[in-house]
Amino acid sequence: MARVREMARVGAWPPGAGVGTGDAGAMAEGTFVRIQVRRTGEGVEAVYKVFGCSAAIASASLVTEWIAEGRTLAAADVVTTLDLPLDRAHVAAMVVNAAESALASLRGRELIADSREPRAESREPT
Amino acid sequence: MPPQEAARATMAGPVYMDYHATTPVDPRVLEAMLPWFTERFGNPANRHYQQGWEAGEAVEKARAEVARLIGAQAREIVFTSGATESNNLAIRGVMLANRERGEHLVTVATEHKAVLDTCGRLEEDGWQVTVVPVAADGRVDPERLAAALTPRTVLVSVMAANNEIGVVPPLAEIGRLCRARGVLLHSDAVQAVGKVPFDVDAMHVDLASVTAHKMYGPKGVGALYVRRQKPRVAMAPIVDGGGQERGLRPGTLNVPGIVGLGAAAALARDEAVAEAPRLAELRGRLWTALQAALEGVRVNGSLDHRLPNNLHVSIDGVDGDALITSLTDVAVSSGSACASGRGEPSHVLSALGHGDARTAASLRFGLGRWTTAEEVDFVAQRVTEEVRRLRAMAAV
Repeated sequence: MARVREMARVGAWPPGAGVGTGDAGAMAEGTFVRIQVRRTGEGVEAVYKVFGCSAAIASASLVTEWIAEGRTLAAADVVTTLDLPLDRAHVAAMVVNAAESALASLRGRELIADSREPRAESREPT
Repeated sequence: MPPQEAARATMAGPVYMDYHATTPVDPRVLEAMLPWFTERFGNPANRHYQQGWEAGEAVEKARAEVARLIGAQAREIVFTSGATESNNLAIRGVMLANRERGEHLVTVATEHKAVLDTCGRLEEDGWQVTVVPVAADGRVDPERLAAALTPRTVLVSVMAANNEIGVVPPLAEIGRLCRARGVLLHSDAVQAVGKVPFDVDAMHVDLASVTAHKMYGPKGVGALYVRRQKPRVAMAPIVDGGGQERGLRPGTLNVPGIVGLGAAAALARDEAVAEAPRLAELRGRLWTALQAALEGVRVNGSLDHRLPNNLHVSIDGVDGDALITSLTDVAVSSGSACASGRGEPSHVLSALGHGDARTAASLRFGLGRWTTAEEVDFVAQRVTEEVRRLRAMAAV
């Protein structure tokens, strides 16, 4: 459980056009995860904040690492990789949900930004 | 090297502050035990040759030591495999042997599972059980307990000190009211014996469970005190066999373990009085340091009526499982289950009315014979560091 002590990708970025944010859970319910993603050239980097048990923390650490590597996210893979007990599978799923929300949020913001750019034909010289 | 320094030197690994879970065997106890594994291997049931009667004498010496520690007579001590068996034997044995007197027993919500589960099983089998709640400070109100007694109540079981929060109930007062009502009193005294004064006559206790490994003796051996007069407790065995221990606990005696229990009891009697204020001072040092360094930290249960070596705190904004996992260099127990739903919150904290198990970590610190001020300072520092780190990790 070295990931529980890892702080490499713990953090937060100010919300903005280039940042996607995904939340899952709630503090009052015992687990809360926020994952944020942004473009870095061709890739994506991710940071997280998490309140919860060691499985939640380790899952957030792993999933943000996978986002940077461009890997497909699946809760089952998180459970297997971290060797989580099955009663922690829902925590891994929660973290993956937060990550997918963050990525969807980023794509949504990018689509909106694209749609606001002037049309190609309008940029042609008159 | 003095025995205590030798013991400390052999304690490898994280700083150990979980003396409620178990204690290391005192080197003096181990020394007393060792011959009884090898050259003095006799079975005390075989009294007609030397090995047997030597073993028998060693067992009787240990019996006397355990009895002296709790103010009992040697013949009132029954050796068992530990506290769980002692609790089972006390509760089942008394209820089985006193069916004609009644079918009702009373216990307290913060008892150890070895008591609560035994009572629960009896309830499934047709006995009636009343579980009395505790106040917010973790202590049971004797008046409330008295109100639960009926003419059919045979037994009350109240622990002498709680294994999680270290709270000490008004046991002598409970004992008086039980005696006045003609109800037997059993006490799981595992955490109290050797740490705070525990005298079966002063507390009007009729049955008491003791274990060796909570007082620097070996694991796998314990004892049950069973009062033999005023009143004489009627008991039934819960296993059958060769008739050892006056038929109450058949089975070949664990001679090395019993010798260890006796040696541990003798040391506890000689050293506990001096040890208690030292541990209380160290506990105060830890509590002061945590309060000074951290916001949102509070003690669970009464601080005034508590074992001198126990501190049990809740820390807001931190998950208990994450904190324990992060404290790789400190051996402490989490007082509550993982906040994210793994298992159930501690039944003791729930009984105190704590509804914040999901958003607060609970830690049980158990100080012991070899705890130093330097260790206390280190633990306070490490807990502070990890709480701050985890809170930073969670802050959005």
